[in-house]
Amino acid sequence: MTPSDIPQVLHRAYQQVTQRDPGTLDRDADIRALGVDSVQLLEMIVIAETELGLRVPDAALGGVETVGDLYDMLGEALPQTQGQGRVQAQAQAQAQVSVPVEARGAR
Amino acid sequence: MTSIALREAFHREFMTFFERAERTRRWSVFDDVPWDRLPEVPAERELALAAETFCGIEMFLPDYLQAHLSLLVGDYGQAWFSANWGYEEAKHALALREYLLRSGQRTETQMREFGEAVMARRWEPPYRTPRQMVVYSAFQELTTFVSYRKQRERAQRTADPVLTEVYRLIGRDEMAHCRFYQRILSLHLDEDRAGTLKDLAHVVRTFRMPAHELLPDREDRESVRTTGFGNGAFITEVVLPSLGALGLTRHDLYSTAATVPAAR
Ligand SMILES: [Fe+2]
Ligand SMILES: [Fe+2]
Repeated sequence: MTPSDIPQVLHRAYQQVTQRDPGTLDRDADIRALGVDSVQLLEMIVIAETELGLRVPDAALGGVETVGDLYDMLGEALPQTQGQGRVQAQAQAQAQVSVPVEARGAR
Repeated sequence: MTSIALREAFHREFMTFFERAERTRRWSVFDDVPWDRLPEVPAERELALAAETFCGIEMFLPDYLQAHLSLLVGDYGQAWFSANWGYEEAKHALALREYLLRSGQRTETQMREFGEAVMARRWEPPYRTPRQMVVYSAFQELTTFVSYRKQRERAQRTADPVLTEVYRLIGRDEMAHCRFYQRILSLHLDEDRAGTLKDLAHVVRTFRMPAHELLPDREDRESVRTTGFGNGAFITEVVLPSLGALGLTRHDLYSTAATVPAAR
């Protein structure tokens, strides 16, 4: 797994947790505006960690507000040998546009 | 019905809890709150509304107690815990009520009307099995502790020495309750790890704090109740520390054994 896999992995995690198709996930999109509450976000992170083979420290979990925060957090947790985690994740993510239709309030 | 070995272990946990409570944690609404400092209490509308809101949530005690006891027939340790827990929780509502009355922020009539509005509603337990209720209680007690800690900090900032101490005494009880339920959960994990993880995952997915939606003037109360309890605080301040106390990680929660259908 490399930083360029992060958007795809998160796309799948979103689908698995919410049972909805997110379309494409924009970096600037607010996680809660995507209809993901804090418990679902935790579940998405666990799925992504498992697929990417990494572990994010607990302390980092509280700071996730946007899809971009999620990309960066996972990118930073990737071993350095897999590339410039954060930079590549950002580059990949910037290519993504549009936000899913279903946007619900969060817990 | 839980096994005899498990029930005996619950009883030992209760005795440990009770001994510690008797020796180190008993307090009196009448003697241990610094009522002599009432003249220093500032008239802060929001602080009083928060105190009244938490008093209201605590006032559903008869429903909470009934729910627990009806699930615990034959479970001596947990039933005795509930009896003792009920005594401690009763003081929480009483201390907040006394604070509001003695500080002159509510009248007897206002408190009676508030009490009647609260008691006109009923709280229904959100889970049907004793083990799921233990999971729920562990999260609920810790959430309550975190809420009271934030309220105490707020009372401290507002220079209210009486309410600060009321919240400190209540918060200490809530943490003791949380620790007891965590111990019971550890015993459940030892006996049936897969089933208990499944219950943990289910309760995390469906958890809601009790009774606040049953209070009168709910909208006004919501922002004071959740002060400082921002997005994600349930995860970072309740779920993850609870898992840590149980020797679990978030990955255990969503392991294959704990996986349940995603429907919410
Ligand atoms: Fe309480
Ligand atoms: Fe409690």
